This record gives sequence, structure tokens and C-alpha cells, in this order.
Amino acid sequence: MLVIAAAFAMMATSATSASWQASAQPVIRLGGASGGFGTADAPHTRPSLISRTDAAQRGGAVEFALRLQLDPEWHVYWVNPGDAGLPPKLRWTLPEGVAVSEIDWPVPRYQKDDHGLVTYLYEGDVVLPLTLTLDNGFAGDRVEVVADATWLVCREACLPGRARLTLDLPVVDSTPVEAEANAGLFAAADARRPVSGGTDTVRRVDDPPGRFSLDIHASHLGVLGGGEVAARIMPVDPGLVDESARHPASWSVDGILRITAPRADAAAAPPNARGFVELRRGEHTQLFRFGPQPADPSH
Amino acid sequence: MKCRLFVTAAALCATAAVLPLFTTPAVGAENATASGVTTGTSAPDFTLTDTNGTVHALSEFAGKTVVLEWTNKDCPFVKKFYGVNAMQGWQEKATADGVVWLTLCSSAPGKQGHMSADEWNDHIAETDIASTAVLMDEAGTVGRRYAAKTTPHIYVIDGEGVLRYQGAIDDTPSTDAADIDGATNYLAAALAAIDAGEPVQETDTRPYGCGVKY
Repeated sequence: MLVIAAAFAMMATSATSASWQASAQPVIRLGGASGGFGTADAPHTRPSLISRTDAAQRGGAVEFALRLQLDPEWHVYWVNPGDAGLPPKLRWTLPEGVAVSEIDWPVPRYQKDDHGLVTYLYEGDVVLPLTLTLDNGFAGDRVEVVADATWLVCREACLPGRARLTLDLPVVDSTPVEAEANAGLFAAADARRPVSGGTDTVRRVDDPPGRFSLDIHASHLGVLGGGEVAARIMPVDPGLVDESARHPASWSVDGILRITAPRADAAAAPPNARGFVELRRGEHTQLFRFGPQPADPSH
Repeated sequence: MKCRLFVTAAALCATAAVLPLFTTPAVGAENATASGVTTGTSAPDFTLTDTNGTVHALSEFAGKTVVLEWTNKDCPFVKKFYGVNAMQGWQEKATADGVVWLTLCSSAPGKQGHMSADEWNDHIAETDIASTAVLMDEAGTVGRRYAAKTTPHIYVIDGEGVLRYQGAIDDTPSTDAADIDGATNYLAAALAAIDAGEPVQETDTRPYGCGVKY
């Protein structure tokens, strides 16, 4: 069964194929800031699959990632792209006994332009983590997974990109070692990884009507302390909140930070109130996820 | 009935038949910050010049169903539909059925998709665009009034001037033309419902596409 199916276009002419083994050398890019990434099929982007470890453990899980190295000023989009754009999509070809999760999206950058258009963006060296799991009974000493990747990369204009990407790893029965060449990349993705707000996080949809609110307990908010916090709720499903409005946050006397947002006009509440909330005070940032997150492995 | 003209109430005020001092206001006559139209209310009138120099007002089409289709010829989502002649086919069918189809471009001068009237007419001929008219909104006034966010972005107005649908053209956000046939087409569904005198099922969907280049 394929994960995040997307129609794969008929014309896969010179599809870029990058095969990354965990011990691959870091890319050295020549050409400077004018931008040198891209091919006709994958403009302004160098796409690849990278692994956090140098091998995959039989019966275990490997964190890997879709890496999109973008030219400066170009961006790709989150699973909820916002008012415009389209997220990257992967369609997998997997051997027996192998499953791949949905993308574990890092918290994107929220942007609202001069015309009120809201988008959620990733820029620079974009790393989108995924998990690969091998059955205990996986036969063979190597595992290869292939993704047909499609994405939209934009600056002023938008251009579609596509590539056929391969990840090939040795299979071992012991704990694999970290792939040092990719450690920095995964560290950057980790820095934007949202944490759970805890079981005491409370979501209120249309309570009162026309509002969505999120309560996070102070015990999870150590970095922010008790001062004034700026908040941005990023819903996975559009319609949960008005994404162009302010989302004010205030502390209650018993140490709960409540973030409120108007609901989106004329939108039925989506079945799942889920997404991210970015909280800032000064130079401190905390990132939370709320609600059920799509992360089920799929065959 | 009193009607206080706060920004959020402007649309309601404009449609209240009990106010003899107000007709459906043209763009500019109402609160300048009004943006967006609530489905089920009167679509604001507007006046734009088409690529042949003819001035059109939305109100001239009273009694007919009107489709507003925002476009930008260089946007990959627009190319998805125009590249395989899907959009042109829908334009042809709708206009043959008596629907007025207005294609609008709110790209500002210098921005992607902006063309002069002559360039538009060449493009219309080359790509067999079959709309009733292509209207140039380079100041973005009408786009902003309707809160047109993407290309494409679709609005359907019935013969009584009521907005019955706004949003995406279909339910499968992608730039791949192969997705068109299998998708649920919201535009076609809205036109069929209006034609049958029935309520439109999906009245508001999130449009997908490139941002309008105001």
C-alpha cells in the first residue's frame, strides 16, 4: 500500500535520481549564491533521501528524510500550505516487510504577505523526516525504498518539481550507528520539531462559538517563563482558525497559557482540531503540536 | 430596520432590501476595506473593461448565472486546466447553456500573468479560451473586493445576483492534469444545482493555486 499517493505524471523524462547511502559525502556546491540547484524537472531544488543512521536494523525503525536543498529565496510548503501552494508528496515503492510513515513535518515559517495571503513555508536546506520500519522477518542484507516525489517550489512564480529518489541501506541485526555526514541536517530538523503539550493540554472548538482556544500548562513552558508571549496557531486542517488573524496568548492566574483564535468564517469545524502552535517570548521559542497527528506507518 | 455601517456589517447592509437609500453598491461606494463576500448574499456589482475595450458591469448579466474565474496564464495550476483544454471545454459548455463566464486577471502590471489587451487577444486565440469575456483587473480592485486569493479561484452567482459558490474548481489540489478526470468538480456541481433549482451542496471550499499577483 502506498503512502501519500499523488498522481505520478506520465512524463518522467529525465527524472533526477539521487541515491544516498548513509556514508555519502556531504554535498559541496559550486557556483555561489546565485543558486546552482536544479534541473528542468526539479528547478531550484536538489532533492534526495538521507538517513540518520548508516544502516537499518531488522525489526527496527530508521529515521530518514526527504531533503530538498533549495536555491536562496525559493520555498516549499507545509502539509497545510496556506492560501496558496502545494506540499511535497511522496509515493512509495516498498519491498515486502517494509513500511514508511507519513512525513513528520517540522514547524514551518508562517508568512502573511501585504495582500493578506497566508502561507506556511520551508526555505534553505529543507529536511522533512520520515520513519522506515522493517519487519523482524525482513529477508536480505540490504533494503531499498524508492519514492516518486512531487513538490511545488516558489519565489514570485511557482514551478512544479518531480524526482525519483532512492534510499539504499545495509540491514543489520544490531543498533545502527549515526551517519555523521547527516547529523547536522537532522539537528536542524530537530530544532523545529514540535513537542506534545501534554495530556493536560485542552482544546476548545466553538466554545464559545466562533473561537478556538488552546490551554497549555505552565509546567511545559519553562523556557518562556511568565512574560508576554506571542503565539501563532498553525492548523493542519484549514477552517479550524482564521489564519490571517492575530492569535493572542494570555496567562491565567493558575499558570495556564491560553491561546485563542477566531474560527475561520463560514467553515465547519474540521473533525480533528490538530496542528502546531509556535510560542515566542524575546529570543525564546517553543513549538508544540496539539491534536492527533498523522504518523502511521503504511505498507 | 436600522443598519449601522460597520465594516463587518457592510455586506449585510448592502443586501437589506428595506433600505431605500442604498442599492447594491458598486465597488468604491461602500466601505473601502470590505473584502470577501459571504456565500448566500448578493455579489457586489463591479465594472471592468474586457480585452476588446468593452466595458462590462456584473449587473448587466442579471437573470443569468455568472461564473467568475480568476486566472494567471503562467501559474502551473492554471496551466493544469488550460494545457489539456479542460477549462476551455467547460467555458464552451457553460456558455452554450446560457451561463455567462467571465475570466478575470488581477495581476498587477509587471507581475506574473499580466498582459495588455492585445497580448490577451493573441493568447485567447492561441489557446481557444471560450469565456464570454476576459476582464482586466490590473488594479486588483475586483479581486480584492471578492477576496480572490488564488489562480484559479471560482465564484458562481445565480440569476438573482446571489453568490452561490466560491472556492476551488475541484477537490484535488495538484498541478497534474491527470487528476482532473477523477476529481469532484465543484464548479460543475454548482452550475447543475442552480440549473435544477436546487441548493448547492458544497458552497465554500478552500481554493488552491498560486497566489493572485496583486
